[in-house]
Amino acid sequence: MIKVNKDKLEWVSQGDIFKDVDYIEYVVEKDGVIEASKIRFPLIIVLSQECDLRYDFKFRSAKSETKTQDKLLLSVLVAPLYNVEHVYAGEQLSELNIIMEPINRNKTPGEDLRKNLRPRYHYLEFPADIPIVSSVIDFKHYFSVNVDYLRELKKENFVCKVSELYREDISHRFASFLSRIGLPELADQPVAEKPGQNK
Amino acid sequence: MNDKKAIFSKEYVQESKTAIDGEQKTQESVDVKTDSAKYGISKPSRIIIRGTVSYDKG
Repeated sequence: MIKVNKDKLEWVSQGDIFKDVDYIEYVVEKDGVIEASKIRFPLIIVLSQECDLRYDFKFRSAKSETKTQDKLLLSVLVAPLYNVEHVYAGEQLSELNIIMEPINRNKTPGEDLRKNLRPRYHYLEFPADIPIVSSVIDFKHYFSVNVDYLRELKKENFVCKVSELYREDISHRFASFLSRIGLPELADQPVAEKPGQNK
Repeated sequence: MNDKKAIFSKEYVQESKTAIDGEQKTQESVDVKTDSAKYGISKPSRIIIRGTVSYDKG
């Protein structure tokens, strides 16, 4: 289980969890008709660094003019939380007609998910007073959201904030996920003999 | 130079709407936090918005 804080800071903060956040897929205009498509995520967590978010807020709140806009953020990085029950079934994106690979909850894949041994996912269990069922952050589905939009949304859609130690764990695992290196499989190459190996 | 303004209010299409009440729920998750369904049960859904564009001459 993780520790969370229900106090709402004025700025968008790392580890904040919001409900009902929209991700704009596209906006196109043709022959005078404009069409926009968005995905509404029931829950997201903020992944951007706390110091960046604080300085952005400080800059935006400054009453006096500053020499540069160096600290201004263009967007906030977030990742969706999925109900773990949906993840087990591979149905977390079924409303978008996307089928995900099921994860057997009773075998090693399910255990690894809950122990956070799968780089892509981060499993979270919330305290009883937080109205979120056991959930999974999917690092592969990260996206960015406009800063002002999220700050405005915070007034009504803030759920809770993951406390520092746990949010750093999430941040660290997210960074590891992004920096992983995919190595090619060299199946056709002969493998060198190991020392002491007899023919 | 034309300044485009979108009017979204004329047509609003919700292609796939997550029905919280009608959604599949596992017995386990419902039993643990019955009152939390609105936070924990729903899935991401797609919303399509269409509207006409008017051009303001500026």
